[in-house]
This record gives sequence, structure tokens and C-alpha cells, in this order.
Amino acid sequence: MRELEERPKKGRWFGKDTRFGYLSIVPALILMSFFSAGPLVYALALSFQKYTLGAVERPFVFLENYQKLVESKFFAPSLVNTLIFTVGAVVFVFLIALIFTLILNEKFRANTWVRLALLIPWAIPEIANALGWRWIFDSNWGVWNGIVVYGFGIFNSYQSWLGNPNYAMGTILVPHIWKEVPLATILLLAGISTIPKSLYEAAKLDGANVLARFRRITLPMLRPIIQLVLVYETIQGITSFAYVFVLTGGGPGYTTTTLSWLVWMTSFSFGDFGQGSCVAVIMSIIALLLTLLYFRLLPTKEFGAVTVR
Amino acid sequence: MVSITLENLTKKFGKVVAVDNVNIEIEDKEFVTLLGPSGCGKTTTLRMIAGLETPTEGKIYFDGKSVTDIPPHQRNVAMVFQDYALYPHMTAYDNMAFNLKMKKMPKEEIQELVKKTAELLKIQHLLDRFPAEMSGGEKQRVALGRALVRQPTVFLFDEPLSSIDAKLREEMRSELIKIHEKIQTTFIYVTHDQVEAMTLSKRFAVMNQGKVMQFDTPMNIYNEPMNTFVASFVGSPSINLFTGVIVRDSTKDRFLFEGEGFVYSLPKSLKFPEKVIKTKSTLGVRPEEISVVKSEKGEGISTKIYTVEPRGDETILSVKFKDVLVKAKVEPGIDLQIGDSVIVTFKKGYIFDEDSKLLARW
Amino acid sequence: MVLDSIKKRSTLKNIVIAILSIVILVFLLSPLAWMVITSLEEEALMFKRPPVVLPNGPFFANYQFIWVRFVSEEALEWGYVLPGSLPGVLAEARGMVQSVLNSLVVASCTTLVCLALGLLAAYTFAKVPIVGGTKFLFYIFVSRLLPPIAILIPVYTVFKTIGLLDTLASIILIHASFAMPFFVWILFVHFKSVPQSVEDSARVDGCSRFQVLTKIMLPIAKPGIIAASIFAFMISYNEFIFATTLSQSAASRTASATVSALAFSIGRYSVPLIMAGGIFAILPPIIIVLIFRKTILEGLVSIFRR
Repeated sequence: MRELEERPKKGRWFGKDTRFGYLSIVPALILMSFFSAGPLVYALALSFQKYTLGAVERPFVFLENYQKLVESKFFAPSLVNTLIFTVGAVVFVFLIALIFTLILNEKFRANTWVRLALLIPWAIPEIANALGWRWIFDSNWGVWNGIVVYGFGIFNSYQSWLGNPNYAMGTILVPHIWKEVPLATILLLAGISTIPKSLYEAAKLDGANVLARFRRITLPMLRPIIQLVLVYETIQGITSFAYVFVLTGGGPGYTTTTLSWLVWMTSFSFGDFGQGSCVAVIMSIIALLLTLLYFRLLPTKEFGAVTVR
Repeated sequence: MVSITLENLTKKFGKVVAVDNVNIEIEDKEFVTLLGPSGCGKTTTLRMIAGLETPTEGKIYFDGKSVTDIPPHQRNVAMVFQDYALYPHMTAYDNMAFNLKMKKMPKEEIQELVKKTAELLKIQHLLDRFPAEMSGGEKQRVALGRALVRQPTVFLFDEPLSSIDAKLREEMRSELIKIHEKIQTTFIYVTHDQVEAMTLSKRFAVMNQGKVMQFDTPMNIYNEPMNTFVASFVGSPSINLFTGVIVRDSTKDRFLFEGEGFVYSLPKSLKFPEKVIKTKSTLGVRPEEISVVKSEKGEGISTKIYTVEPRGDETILSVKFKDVLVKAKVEPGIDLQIGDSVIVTFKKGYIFDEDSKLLARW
Repeated sequence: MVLDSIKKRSTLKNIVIAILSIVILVFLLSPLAWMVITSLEEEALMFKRPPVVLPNGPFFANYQFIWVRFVSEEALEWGYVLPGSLPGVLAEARGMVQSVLNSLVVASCTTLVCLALGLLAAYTFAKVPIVGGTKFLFYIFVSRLLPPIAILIPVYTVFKTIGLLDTLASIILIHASFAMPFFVWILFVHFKSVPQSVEDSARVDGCSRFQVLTKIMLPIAKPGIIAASIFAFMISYNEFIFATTLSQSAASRTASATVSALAFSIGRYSVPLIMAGGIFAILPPIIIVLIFRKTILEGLVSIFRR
């Protein structure tokens, strides 16, 4: 506290310190620009060009690509699907993770094993996860069908989980949620452990029951972590690609075509890099707008130890 | 072992002036304290002496040579921090030996010095421990040892005893005095605790808002405070301050102080020039200089006892002059109760002018 | 002490929590478990409804096939053919070990790049006051918010033009850029948590700015450095989109790319073999997690240390 009073952050010290400072951050900044801001600008440029795979010339056609894209029959569905997927992912991941957190917060002997088990879904590469679930959801021999038909008797015959337009979107959400929940749980558990027990004791004395304690102490105290988890899961939801890629290929029809799949489809299936760049630009704008929205909704948000306003 | 001179020392952080034109001369081997409330600039001044901050203006001299542009690791100063600042990944021994290793001293010499210093501070049993395994008091001793083992030119202390409990603090204080006497090196000590300033240092500076209000011996600061800030900062319970005006008593050949709710006859010896009369002044009286006598009538201010606080070796009374609360320090065992009528007189007092500067005292 | 809190609760609550925890465990482990079980089955048993679980005991031939093929070319000439498998050359599964090695190399190099560039940067952001420092830090964090797939085409095009397309180097660079924000963030928090006074003490004790870094900050931040490095490694190893797109030939393929190829072969080739290949790819990160679980958990939790 004394530090902040007598040493405000904007301490200037010219000479060796500044040189040392800039020199040490420039390489990292260059790397980041080369793979974030740079490509984004380039993508913008490409989106204005007619660029097909293998073409020698790339003439500028400006907004023609965008026009073609917006008028296509897969653009609107891709927006809707991305929305559905992201909202579904964020909501389910958060709720399930919250429930898990409350259960696992209680101390008991096997705790350490469960915490270890939480790390496993995080450790698995996304694509390997997709591989596993692809087989689980196989319409002819998959174990999921086995369970719902022979185990619980919900259905009479094997379903095509990935080929049925009604089930496809829900089906690709499953591996995503499965993989994201543990990390969210770990973060929420860490957050909950920072809430002083004395707050709960005081609340009990004040007559608060379990629900009230949850609403008025746990949730508010967890706010920063919840914000972090929501932002992170939103990004994960928007950028999710592997499951569509492996499990459904955007189909059946365009029922699981998300924006990220659209980038791939237009670029590598249709060979139209120009249009692919359009989707990329639109996707980036949406992502950046969403995060700006998050930051605006929360007056000051602590990003680690940096305060963002 | 150096004398230190601060010349026109100023430090600005952006628009904030943390240290404002400080001029102090500290003698070799002297124990000097910088006293003041939070944010007064004392720590920043100390850090500038250490070299951890560069002054915006002004210079710092060690023994007449300017060190203003010399980085901290070349100034040969030792510093003890409020949070001990021990290196958490090293044992107490390594912490103490660190600076000597940096100076490339041979291992046997380092061992000798560390052992001797550890014996002096009675921390030999801690040498193999890590900071995480020590209590606050133990850590502070190791921090002290780390500073002592180096034989620097000057020791800097940044509120080192603030995080220690009261009883241990007293012990550490006397130890610091003994150590200072033993090693005869310049000590510069920063604190907000006026008791520490009064008991430890030969001279101390009272700072407020970046400026040095007064730099003098404890007795001088106590008896002749230069302004109301110094007067109220030093002394416990703090001095009673009354705002009012000085008027001439027409009937007798003396002056009166007209405060809020009372009028006090000032001693005949006090004389004031014309321009002071009828301008805003402040009367300051220390609690121990107030005499309270159980009586209905007499020379002085008539009032009733408001609270009585027996503290064993002394008793603190408070009375009210209209709405103003006044604290007085009297002998223990005095026979006064709440509500008793008393006459209050001032044995000693200070008059401060409208700029809060000391004008006169008796 | 744990026992006390268990005793405080009613037995009923204990049982409920225990059951729920088991449910959670099943949730967490079953997909992976199913992959493992499948990989240990005989191929002929794949086509049964309902699915069977190891009626004839674990069957390790699939793993042997993948490993042996890597170890020696001659193994194929030994007549090593999977019992009951469909004829045909399954290049992907055979090349799995090589791909995993490639992934390990890429991930290690990514970590090294992050260490080289990010360590110093994180320290500077945390401790050295420079003008605009917060803005640059923010810039690095915000870069993470960009969907990776959005920059796929530009990066692909640029690398193609430069001629770096089929190399591991290109993958390493882009992975480093993905890992850098996390890396810097974790180290930033760790460095910031070291009190200023420790650094001051070192400077007064005779360290130049650089020596403060090497002798004091780095040793103190060691656990954070390990955690950040592990994260960088995992991010690189698990990355899929760029690893697949930027590699064309088998020599430069990473595990992710090979797994992706495997996933599309499910209808055509032996499923247990495919699953075995997948497990091969999953093994390194799982082993890392098992070894470093404490460091990883602490690293994640340290995000909240202020």
C-alpha cells in the first residue's frame, strides 16, 4: 500500500533502464505482431482479392467476395450455428463446472485423485478427443448407441447421431463440453478456495440458508473468476473447429456449419481463399467485438495483475 | 562512516511532488530519524539516499562527494526493510553472505564475519533455516544481520519495526541503540512512530507533504515545535490546539487569548506586536502542562470533568471548553470524578500565528 | 483434520458426495477409457451390437504393430499382419511414432522460443517501469483472443511464398505465438508477486539490474517458469489446425495431423488399430500431466494470486 502511494506506476527513468526495458520486450512483440495483427491485416487484404487455390493472378475485386458470401446459402446458417454452439457451450460448460465445483469443494479422501482426473481431459489433444468420440458416436457400432438402446432402452434402434440433422449439433457439443468442463472446474475451485470461511460462518449466524449463502456470498465473491471463465469459454466456443472437422464435416447439409468450419470449407473444399479470408475477417470482428462487450459490461476487470479499464 | 548532505532534494512522480526541496546535513556516525505520517515523503527520501530512486532535482553528497548519479549497488549502503525482504530461496546464512559474495570476498572471511554478526544478534541457530521457517522477529534479526555484516558506510532503515508486536519492538529498539553505539556508523531511520523517533535518534526530522518541518534534537522539537504540525505530531496524548484571537486586556497590562468558549489570561511576560492582535492564532497546550484543581472559583478556566482514564502511572482527564474536548495528563490517584467542577490552568503553552508558525511560548 | 470435517457432516451427506464424486470420475475418465479398451480389442469384435468389452483379454497387437513398424522397416517383411484386419497399407498408423516424435520436437522448440522471448519480457512488464508498458502487455494478451483459424489463410499463404511450408520451423513459430500470451501472463503474475523490497534489497546489496534477474528473480520464480513452460509445451503439442495445414509430407507431420488422418479412416481400416494410434498420440501429454500435476495445478491457481 505504501508502494502505490509513493511510487505510482508511471515512473520514468531514462537511460539504461528504458533501453533495457524496450529491448527485452521487442522480440516478443515482433513475434506476436507477425502472427496476430499482421496476418489479420493481410487477411483483410486477401478478402478483397479473387484468390483461388493455384491461381497465379490475384486481382482485386473488393466487396464482391463479401457479397457472394453473404448471398450464399451457407452464410446465414453458419452465423446461427456458431451462435447456437457458442451459447450452448458456454452455458453448459459453466453450469456443469459450477455443479462439479460445489461437489468437489467438499474435502474428502479421494480428492487428490479427482483433481488429477480433472487434468486429463485438458491434456488430451482436441483432435484425439474428436477421434475417440467419433467412434463412440458411430452410427453402426458405437458404444453410445449401445448404451441408449441396450443399456437404458431410450431408443429402440441405433441412431445416426452425426447424420441426423436434429441430433448433429447437440452431438458435436458433447466432446467440446467434456473437454472444457474440467478446466473451468479447476479455475472455479481455485476461486472458491480463496473465499474466507469466516464469511460463511457470519452468514450462518445471520440466518442465511444454503441457497442464500450461495447466492449472496459464493457467487459475488466468484465474480472475477466467473467472468474469466465466461470470456475464455466464449472464445473456445467460437473457435471450436476440430469436432466439426472430424465428426460432421459441416453437415448434414449445413446444420453444423460454423464460422470456423466455413473458413476451411471455402478455402480448402471450394478452393476459394478470397472468400475464406472474408469469413476469417468477419469471424475476427465478431470475436473482438464480443470481448470488447465483455470489457465494457464490467467497469474494471482485473486481468491477472493488470487492471483494464 | 560518512556524513550525508541532502541539497535541494526534490522528487516528482508526474505531477505529484513527493519530496519538496529537502535540505539536511547529517553528521558522521549520527543516528537520525525521518518522522512523519504516511505519504509525507520520508520513505522516498530514504530511497533516494539508497539510490533506488533518482532525484528530480537536487544532489546527495556522501562526505562531500556527490553520489547522485551513482547506482545503488555502488554506494555501499545497507538497507533494512519493513517486510524484511529476505531472499526466500536462500538460507539465513546465504542471505547474510550474499553481499559479501557479490563483493567477491574469500569464503573463510565471509564465514568469519557472518558468524560474528550472528553471535552479536543471537541468531546462530537460525543460520541454516529458510525465511519461510522463521517468525517475524527472527526474520527481522536476520535482515538486520544482513545489513550489519557488510560494514557499509551508512545504514538505512525503512520502518523496520512496524510489523513486529509491541513487546518485541521495545527489545529491538534498545538493541538498535546498543548496536549503533557499538559500530559507530551513520544510521538513517524512517518511521511514523514518534516514540521511536524520540527515543532512538540524536536528531530527527519531522516531514509533512514532502517538506522538512523541523530538524533538531528530540528535546528541542518537543519543547520548541516550529509549527502546529510538529507540535501535534510529537507527544502523546497529542497537544491540545485551540483556535482563537489574541486581544489586549484593557484593565490589566497583559494579553488575553479568546478561544471558542473560553478566555485565558496569558502570562505577563508575553508581549505581542500590534499586527498579531485580533488575527487568527492558535494556542497549544500539552496535556502534561495542564493543571486541574478541584474548585468552583479561581484564576483559570472553570469547567467540569468529562472523562477519567486511569492508566496506572498517570491519569488522563478530559474536560470540555464549551464543545472543545481537552485532554490533561495528571498524577495517578488524583481524586476527581466525572462531573466535578474544576479550575484549569496552563503551566506551559505555545502561541502559533495564522500561518501555524510558532510565535511565542511560555 | 480432513477426518474432522468428514465427521462433522452427516453420514448421508458423505455418501451422497461420495457417489457424486464417483459419477464425476466416470464422466472424466470414460471416453479415454473407452478408447483404451477399444484399442485392446480384436478387430473382429468391433462389429457387435451391443459392443463387447475385452471378452478375450487385452490384445496388444495393435500397439506392437505401430511400435514395431517404427523400429524397423523389416518388420513388415516378417509377415506381421494383424489377425483379421482388412488388407491394405495403413500408412498413418505406421507413421504414428514418427509423428509423435515430430510433435515432441515442435513442442520443445516452442517452449524454448517462449523462454527465450517471453521470460525477459514478462520480467520487464512486471518490474521495470517503462512508458506504455501496460499497453504492450495488453497487446500481447489481446492477441490470444483472435480465432486461430481466422489467420490460417494469411499465414499459409505467407509461408508458402517464403517456402517454409513443409517445415517444422514454421509450425514452431506459429505455436510460439499461440503459447506466448499464456506464458507471459503466468510469469508476469509470478514476478509481480515478488515484493519490490526483495528486489531493492538485492540492488542495494550490489546487484546490477541484470544480476537481480539472474540471482534473485529467476530462482524465486522457478516453479512459475516450469509451469509456464509446461503450458507452452501442451499448447503446442495439442494444436491441430496449423499443424495439419502447414505440413504436407509424412516426414514433417505432427501427431495431431496423423490423428486427424486416422479419424477419417474409421470406415476403412481396423478401428482398434486406429484407436491404438490415437492413444500413442495422447500418451506424452498424459505422462507429463501425471508427473507435473502439482506444478500445473499450482500454475493455474496462481493466476489468482495478486
